[in-house]
Amino acid sequence: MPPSSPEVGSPEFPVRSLAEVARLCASPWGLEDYGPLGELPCLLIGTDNGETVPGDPARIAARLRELPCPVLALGPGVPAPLLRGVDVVVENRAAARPLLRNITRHPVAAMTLVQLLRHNEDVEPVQGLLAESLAYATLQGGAEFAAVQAQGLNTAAAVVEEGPPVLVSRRGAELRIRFNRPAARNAYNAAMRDALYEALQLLHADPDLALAVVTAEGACFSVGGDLAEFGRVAHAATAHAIRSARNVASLLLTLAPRLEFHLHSACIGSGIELPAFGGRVIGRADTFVQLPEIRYGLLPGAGGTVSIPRRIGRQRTAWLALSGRRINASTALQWGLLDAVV
Amino acid sequence: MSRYKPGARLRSAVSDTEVMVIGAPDTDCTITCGGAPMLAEGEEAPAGAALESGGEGALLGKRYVNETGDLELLCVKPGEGALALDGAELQVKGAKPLPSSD
Repeated sequence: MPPSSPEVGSPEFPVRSLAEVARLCASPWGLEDYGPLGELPCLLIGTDNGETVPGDPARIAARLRELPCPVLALGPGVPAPLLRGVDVVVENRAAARPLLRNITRHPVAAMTLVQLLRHNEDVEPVQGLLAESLAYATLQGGAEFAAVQAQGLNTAAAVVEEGPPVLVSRRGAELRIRFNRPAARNAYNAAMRDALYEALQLLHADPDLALAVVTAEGACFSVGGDLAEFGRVAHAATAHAIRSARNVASLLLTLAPRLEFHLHSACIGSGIELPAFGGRVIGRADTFVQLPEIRYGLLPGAGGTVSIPRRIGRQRTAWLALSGRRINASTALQWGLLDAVV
Repeated sequence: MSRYKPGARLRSAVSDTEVMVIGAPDTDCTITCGGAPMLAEGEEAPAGAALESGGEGALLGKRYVNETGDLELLCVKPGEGALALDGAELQVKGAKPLPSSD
């Protein structure tokens, strides 16, 4: 079966009933086929026959929480105590397909993502950021990202912009930070990161600044990490050291109450991960949000596995990151990823 | 001559520039902007203070240091006039640009 048309219920994607899941979890060998190194790249739980779960649901959830692959519930009928063991709830079998496609192509990235989201749910945000950088580095050094790179991920020439990558100005007690790489659709590169970091340090240092408003010049807010720079860092460990030295996400976390983001059109990858830290996030009606990293064998690495679950929870974050699908402004508002749409 | 304390805010007597003292020498000295001594909170600009021509104005969010590094100012409001300590112009202290982590 080609990975482009995953068939739920096929031998590769068997659907387990709640009773079967309980039985598999009770056995030390029950789940050994699941994971990137096994036959089954994710666990699908069918919930449509309204059965009760035999056994202790909290113990089953704890066991599932350690499973080295995504756990998808097909339908909303998962008993509440078991939800802690579920990574994503989809509406029905058909809705699982886009996720299964990505999970099949990049099972290590999918596993690492859900493990990280489970972990970050249980720790303080700063610890989550550290775990995210380590997890991202793991995938940067992985076979899946290497294969994507081998296909020519960053062959596009870097777009040269005129002027500073971020414009910073002040009016009274308000700091204005404006992404300024319109020709590159505000793709987030190292220069932009350093300039944003400097602006945030100013906000941090000056208590007279009551508010910083972050906006973007051009057609969209940001299309995320600049692909022209992907794979340029020689060692994954060095990449982790760079993220630790210029920890924009950690500063955003600290400054959140004084940060307001105004979004428009595309907010992809870091283009939503960074704003999601803000105390207030306002989107124009044409705003859309997407986490595409799974397609590169990576995961959201700009703080999004902390900032986005804080707003919409672990399972919706996992859905965004595993499906790579867009959500529009009204869905983002309904979920709480946006605070207002204008 | 003044003794400056970290955390103090100074404003230019001749332009819009405002700085925050991050670090200062433990001696009496004079910080100027555009040639005129910068003013502490409550101080009034002396009559006839005028912006000295030449030199780059301070940029918002940039840090400025003297050669020995014991004076460090953060520009919290940009404006005209070069920043100087006892007549020696301060230099921008830029964070080292780091490569992409992707």
